[in-house]
Amino acid sequence: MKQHITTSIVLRRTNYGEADRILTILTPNMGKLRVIAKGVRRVNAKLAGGTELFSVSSITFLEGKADLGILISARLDKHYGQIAKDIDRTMLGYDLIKEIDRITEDQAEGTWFELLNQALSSLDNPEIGLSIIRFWFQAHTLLISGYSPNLQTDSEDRALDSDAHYSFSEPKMSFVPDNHGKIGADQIKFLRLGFSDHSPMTLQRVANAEELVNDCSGLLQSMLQVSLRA
Amino acid sequence: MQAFDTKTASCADQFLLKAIAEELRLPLNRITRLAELGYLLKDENALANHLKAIEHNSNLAMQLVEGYLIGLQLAGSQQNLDLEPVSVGSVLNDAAHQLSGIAGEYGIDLEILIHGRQRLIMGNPRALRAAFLNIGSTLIASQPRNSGHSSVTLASYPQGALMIAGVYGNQSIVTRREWRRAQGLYGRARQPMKSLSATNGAGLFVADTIFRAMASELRPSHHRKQHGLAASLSLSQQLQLM
Amino acid sequence: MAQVLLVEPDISLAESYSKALQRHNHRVVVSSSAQTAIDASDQTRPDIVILELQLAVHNGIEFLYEFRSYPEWQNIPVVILSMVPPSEFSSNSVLWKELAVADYFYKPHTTLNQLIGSVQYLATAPA
Repeated sequence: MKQHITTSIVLRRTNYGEADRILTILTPNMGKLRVIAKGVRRVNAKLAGGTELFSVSSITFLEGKADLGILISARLDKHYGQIAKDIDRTMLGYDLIKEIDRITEDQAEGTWFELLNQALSSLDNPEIGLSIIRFWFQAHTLLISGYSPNLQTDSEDRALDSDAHYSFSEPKMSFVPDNHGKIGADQIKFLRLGFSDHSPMTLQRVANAEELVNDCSGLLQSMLQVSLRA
Repeated sequence: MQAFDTKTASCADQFLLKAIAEELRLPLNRITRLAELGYLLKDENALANHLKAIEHNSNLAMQLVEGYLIGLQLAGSQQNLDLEPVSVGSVLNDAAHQLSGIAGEYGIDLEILIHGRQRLIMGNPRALRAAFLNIGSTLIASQPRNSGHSSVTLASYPQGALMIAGVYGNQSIVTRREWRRAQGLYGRARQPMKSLSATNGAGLFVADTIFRAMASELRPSHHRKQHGLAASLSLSQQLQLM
Repeated sequence: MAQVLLVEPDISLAESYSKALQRHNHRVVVSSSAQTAIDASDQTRPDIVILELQLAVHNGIEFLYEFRSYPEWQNIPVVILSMVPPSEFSSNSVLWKELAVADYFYKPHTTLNQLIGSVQYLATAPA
């Protein structure tokens, strides 16, 4: 049987039988996989909690039958220990993991692994607000899925005007001029930042970041609902 | 002495007030459920115990508020601190007497350990009592429940030119790292100290505010195989116990 | 009537909730932490779990995730009884659905009778 070594983040774990555990893992090069950890004794079950979940590990596994690999070894590379210390962060961590699990297919690209890894890393940093992390995550989910909005021109193909106000058209994925619209220059700049390569920490440092997230979160949510049925 | 920074003080006050407000829900919730239970069970024998428990929890809530107000008062009058020579031992005895009820309710053995040459310190007795009551009640309520015996000790002992006074437990451990992290998180995080069960530790932050107003601070400490929190207090130059 | 696992770190509250439930003939096991709650479930399978989210060391969400990872425990109703108001979570209710949370009570607003009512309902509802 062929042996593989890879980095991984656990998305889900299910106890199986009296002694085994099935893990659904996300990897940078091999997409989403399922592996079975055999012989883990349930009678001494310790609450894995954050130790297993909010961590990056190097694992070795053998190809098994029916797309279920057999885990041989796991070494913890990075544990995002601060996440489980705060209940709100734990909640968001689980939320993001479940979201990735839902969105990714078996042949998930490496970018999903990087997205989740950076999201967990940000969650691990108490200086970065939860709403900022969620906003950044949602923006990059749309980006990776190929559903990012047009942040340069409006629905009539005119350059976005810093003095104008807009509302957003989900079907067109672009801004429509609207005097009563809630989106202005600050919100558009913030959205551009969110959809770029900048990290959540950069967004956190923007003046009034939390307010801007508040202004834009409805927009992102509706984009996700339309594009990804989130 | 540092000038009183009103902006920083009001931000810190807000967070402390938020932590206290959140923490007050616990004793008040306990009181409400005890009263409900008394009505539900209609057991006159148990009623006396319920009333006692209600009394203890009312005192707990009062201590938290009182400690905060005292801390505010002290911080607000930094130019004219109301300090006097105080016997730490006698303050601890007082505090232990008031904590005995809640300790009994939680099945915790409460002890006092006053040893070494006891000297008077410069302090505010009302403030010190409030500080120790808050530390004591927090540690009592958050002792982890397991099959082992739990005890909380109020202790004071000399160390060089200072008197160390603190509250220690045989089961809970507050590390320096956790305490530092918690000081940055109170009022912002729901559980600034994850090692504490049930409580958010607001009483500890109130006590810390009081000690800081007396040019000291609350720090993790260990004494005779117990871990807890203590403050170093300056000796009074005016009078010394012989 | 039902075997209830009460995960509650505060001794006083645990006693109040336990006594109220026992008054209605439920058998109650109290755990103060996530790990002891897992151990208790191993020893005696609960019919219903009442769970505080703010626990020491490992929080209630970690417990819930672990609890649900056991196939034989996936259908056990979990009632959250917490100091955390549900509105304060930035997350939506999807996670509660995924973790099969049967009910969510905010402690300061929840009377003993309301809790008992929920437990009675879950104890008699068809599986």
